[in-house]
Amino acid sequence: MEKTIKKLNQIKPRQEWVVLLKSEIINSSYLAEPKVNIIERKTSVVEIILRVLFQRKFAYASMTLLFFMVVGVFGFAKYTMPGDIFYPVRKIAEQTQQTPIQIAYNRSEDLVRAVVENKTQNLTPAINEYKASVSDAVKNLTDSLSNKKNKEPINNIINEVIKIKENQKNLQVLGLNVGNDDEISKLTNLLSTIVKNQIAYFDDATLTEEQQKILTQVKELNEKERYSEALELILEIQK
Amino acid sequence: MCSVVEQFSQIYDQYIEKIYRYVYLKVNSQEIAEDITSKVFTKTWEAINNKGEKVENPSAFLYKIAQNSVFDYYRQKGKKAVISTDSIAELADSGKTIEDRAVLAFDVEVVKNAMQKLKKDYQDVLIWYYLDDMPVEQIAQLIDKKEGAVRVMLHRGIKDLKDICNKSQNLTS
Repeated sequence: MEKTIKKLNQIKPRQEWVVLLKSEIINSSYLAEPKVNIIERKTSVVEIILRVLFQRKFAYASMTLLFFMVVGVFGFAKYTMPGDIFYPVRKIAEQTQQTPIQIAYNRSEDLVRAVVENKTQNLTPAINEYKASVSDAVKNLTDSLSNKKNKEPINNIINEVIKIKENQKNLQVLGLNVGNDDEISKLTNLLSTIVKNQIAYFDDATLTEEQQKILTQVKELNEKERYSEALELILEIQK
Repeated sequence: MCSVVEQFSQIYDQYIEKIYRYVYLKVNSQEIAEDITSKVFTKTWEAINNKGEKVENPSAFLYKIAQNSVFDYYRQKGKKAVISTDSIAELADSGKTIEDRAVLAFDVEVVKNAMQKLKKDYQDVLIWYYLDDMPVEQIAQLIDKKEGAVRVMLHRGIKDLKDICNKSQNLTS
């Protein structure tokens, strides 16, 4: 009897049905449902975290913590320089608050700091960032001057440019000459443009005797290509 | 996702024939057996893929679903197992002569029909033990009974099956 029962093993499903059923089951569910469920699973995990975070008890604590974290990161980022982990945070903050020429000045300050404090790992990124920022500032100022749509007062620009040039001199004293670089030489050309524009402006303006004397000195400095000094005197006329 | 498909594929390949045979011997219809078996494996796929369940004991898992599905089938349709004689053609070709196959098919058909007259519990243990080569220990776990009780069920199942077959053959002769 046992042998006869074992003969029931001959009962087998149709082979084509076996193959078809398998592919049907896998394909039908594979295409539609799992993706939804994966999203649902992810959503549920996110929902749980959000529920915990935004429970009344946790809400104030989590918001305060978040506030201090943001303030802390931005505060800390102020003291970073090119090459540091949090430097991009500082860069983003500057881009939203400062003009390109101010940013270029900040980069020149960073470069001086890197040289003075002998931060060798920051030196190369600082030089690159400085060049990029000067290039950006020059482009921005050139566009502004040519379009006569410069929203920033000229004395502010001159002040920043003078400070940048001073930092260039400081760097030269410290043994780092970046003044001959293509990007930086564009800044010198820009200075000459600003000086010439200002001379033309003051020639048409009504000046006091004292201002006329200073303007004459400006013209002399312009001819000698001593633009930084010329700009300093232009600021004297504007006072 | 790939491992889910592989896991299901492995289970499917290993158990499709066993589950189909188990269901077939209970419903005695190729069409219904295919329908119920497909439900069993669809549920298995859903459990693995959608619910992310890990099937530790595929055998127990599949037979449990198959048992419930057959039960549901009879409950919903209000049907009882009907002995049918239309299924000899469904038996696989054993490669013997026509005469041998006819004798064999007759024996198998008698036993198959007798199986369907058997008590449900005896059907299960006989199928699992003699057809699926499932050890007594595993059967005991599956039906939540002691091994001794399973051996008794096997003994009584065989005895009842013999009685049903003898009655059937007497009626034929």
